[in-house]
Amino acid sequence: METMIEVRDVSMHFRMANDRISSIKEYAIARLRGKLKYNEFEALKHVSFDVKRGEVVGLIGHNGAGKSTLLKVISGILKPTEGSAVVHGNVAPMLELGSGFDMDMTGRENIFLNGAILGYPEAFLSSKYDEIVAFSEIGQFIDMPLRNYSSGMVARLAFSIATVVVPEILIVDEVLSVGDAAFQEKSLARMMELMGGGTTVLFVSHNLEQIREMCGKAVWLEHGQMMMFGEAQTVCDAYKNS
Amino acid sequence: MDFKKSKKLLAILAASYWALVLIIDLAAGSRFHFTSVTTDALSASGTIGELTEGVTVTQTIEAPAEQITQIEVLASTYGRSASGTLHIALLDEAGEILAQQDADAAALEDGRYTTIPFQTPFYTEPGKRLTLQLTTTGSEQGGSISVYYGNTVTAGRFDVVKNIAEEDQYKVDGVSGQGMLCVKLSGIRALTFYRDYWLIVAGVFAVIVLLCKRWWKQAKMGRNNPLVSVCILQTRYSFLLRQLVSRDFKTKYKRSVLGMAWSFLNPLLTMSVQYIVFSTLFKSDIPNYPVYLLSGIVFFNFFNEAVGMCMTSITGNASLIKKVYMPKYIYPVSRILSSLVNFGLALIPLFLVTLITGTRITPALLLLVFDILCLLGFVMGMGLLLTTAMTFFQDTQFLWGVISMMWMYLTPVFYPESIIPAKFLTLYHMNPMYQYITFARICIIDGVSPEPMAYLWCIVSSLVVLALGIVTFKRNQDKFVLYL
Repeated sequence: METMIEVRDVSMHFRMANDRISSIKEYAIARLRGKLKYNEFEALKHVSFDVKRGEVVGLIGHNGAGKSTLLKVISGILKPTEGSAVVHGNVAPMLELGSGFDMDMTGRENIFLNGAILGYPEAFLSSKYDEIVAFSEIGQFIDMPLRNYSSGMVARLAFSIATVVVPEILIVDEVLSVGDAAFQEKSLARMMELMGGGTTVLFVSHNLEQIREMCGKAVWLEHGQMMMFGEAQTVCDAYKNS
Repeated sequence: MDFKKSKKLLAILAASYWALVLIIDLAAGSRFHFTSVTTDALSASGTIGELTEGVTVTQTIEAPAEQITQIEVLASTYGRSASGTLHIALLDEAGEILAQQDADAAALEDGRYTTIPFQTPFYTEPGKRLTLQLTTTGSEQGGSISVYYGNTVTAGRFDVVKNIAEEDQYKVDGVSGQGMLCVKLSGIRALTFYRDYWLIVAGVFAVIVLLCKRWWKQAKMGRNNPLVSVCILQTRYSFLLRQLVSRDFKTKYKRSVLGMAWSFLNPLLTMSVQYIVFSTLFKSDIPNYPVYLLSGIVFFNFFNEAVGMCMTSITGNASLIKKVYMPKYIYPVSRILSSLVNFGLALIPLFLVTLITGTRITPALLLLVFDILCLLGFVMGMGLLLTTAMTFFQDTQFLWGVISMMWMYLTPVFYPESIIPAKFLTLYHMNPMYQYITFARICIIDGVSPEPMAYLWCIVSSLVVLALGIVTFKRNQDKFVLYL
């Protein structure tokens, strides 16, 4: 089967200066005093795995294990310090929903703005516009500025825009806890629909049951190191017992 | 990248190149073939005394061009009607007469420059020192004319005494005077440059084509380069860019009653205020001061706003950059485009004021396209440099506030260039903003094309800064996200 994501020996180092230096003066002083030391922080250490077409891969691990960093590397937001992450196909990253929203603009305007940020073509957005509005259950509020929305409404709108497309690769970082119970069910159904449609999915969750249920494979990260990569059931069992 | 669409884009770009080249050739007209040059004269200080028959006045003067066509003389008739004839002769170093021209003393204007064309223009070498010899016939004591001399230069509102070498001073019957005669020699200089205009233009095009071919080949192999960036921007991200630009506009004027109207009200109001404040100071020195002022304001505001907006484009979109992957240059480019739209709106009042003040509309206005393109490249380069600096050091924005103010005072936005001391002029002219604004003013106010040198300055400063900006931005863009 075709390989969609190749993660090859990826390491990600962050430099943490003793004090965050953000002015020329501070930089110059620190430099002169010879105090410009950095603590290297390794968020990812030599992580390698492949994801094939249509696979649903779960990412598990404790807080700060490097899950989000890994997703950011794969979506191209971060450039790895070492190694490479090659992605074949278009990626729809759902790292944080609605990051491109402008609170002063109406829902309608935001659909087009956010859609454009996610890389959808204009004609596609126009044709799917009604579908997005219907799915988000925003209704008459669509022509109101976003600052008047409740946080649930914003999240629903964001989810609706992000999932209207059927991407080749979907990267999801804990976004399924959006809205009320009814909407959560609806969004879960939508996710399952996408996964059934042959989309490759990378998926972060702290809910082990969800991982067992939805994923075929899983990656277990701990302090930046990949502890295990394999069948979701096996990895989840090992993680639980650790 | 989409190769078919990119090909179309390249064809459009090539066509625009030739259109621009053609426009410049047509609108610039004879300014590229010949240029008329006139020597400078000092400010008049006094007259040299009556020029009666038998008195010979000489003054060495440098030939400004190879073909000398006319001479301007600042003569005085002491307010009475003068009689006699003024004989003007130009001699070379050997004392040989190159040209002679007689002028009726009665035809000379009192206290104003009178232009006297040579019946037969003569040829010499530019820069060659000629001797001007003035004599009169038929003039008597009490009824003859005189010529003004000067020994000061004007610097704004003040006159500064100029040191004049002994051999440059005027001589009355061989005796040196205290200054130089107020005469101006004009000539026509053929521009060797124009002969090669099409050759240069074609050469540049060939270089661009070759570069694009190389980049195209690299793009086919999947490598990244500026051509790929431009094509991707146009084909894949044009919708996003439009959305970002319209967002900038919508949020900018969202809660204002007049909305978009502010884009052209703003420069008009600024102009009104500055006009009232500065008109008594500088008005007399500048023809068509309203247009002078407004063109300066509109062009400088564009620079200031675009660079300022561009500078915060990365830090301001931090939440987006950390969560969605997009080529980073989208952010500065979108900000520049928003400013460009704003600039386009601000040009409307500029043209309205130009029309109202009765300035002649000439094809030279088309040359503004060239000027604005150069300005755009410069602004883009500055923006990329500053946004890179801004991401690493937030001090940049405060520093820029001071620098941009300094920059405005270093650019003739509201004052005439003549107040700058002559010794600083060379340095002063190196300011790219000076080049772009002066270029625009020559096109709008004088209605002619600037000198070919101005084109060169504009394009070179623009390309250098743009290249610098692109390289700096590209080298650092992967690090941005770590500093946000």
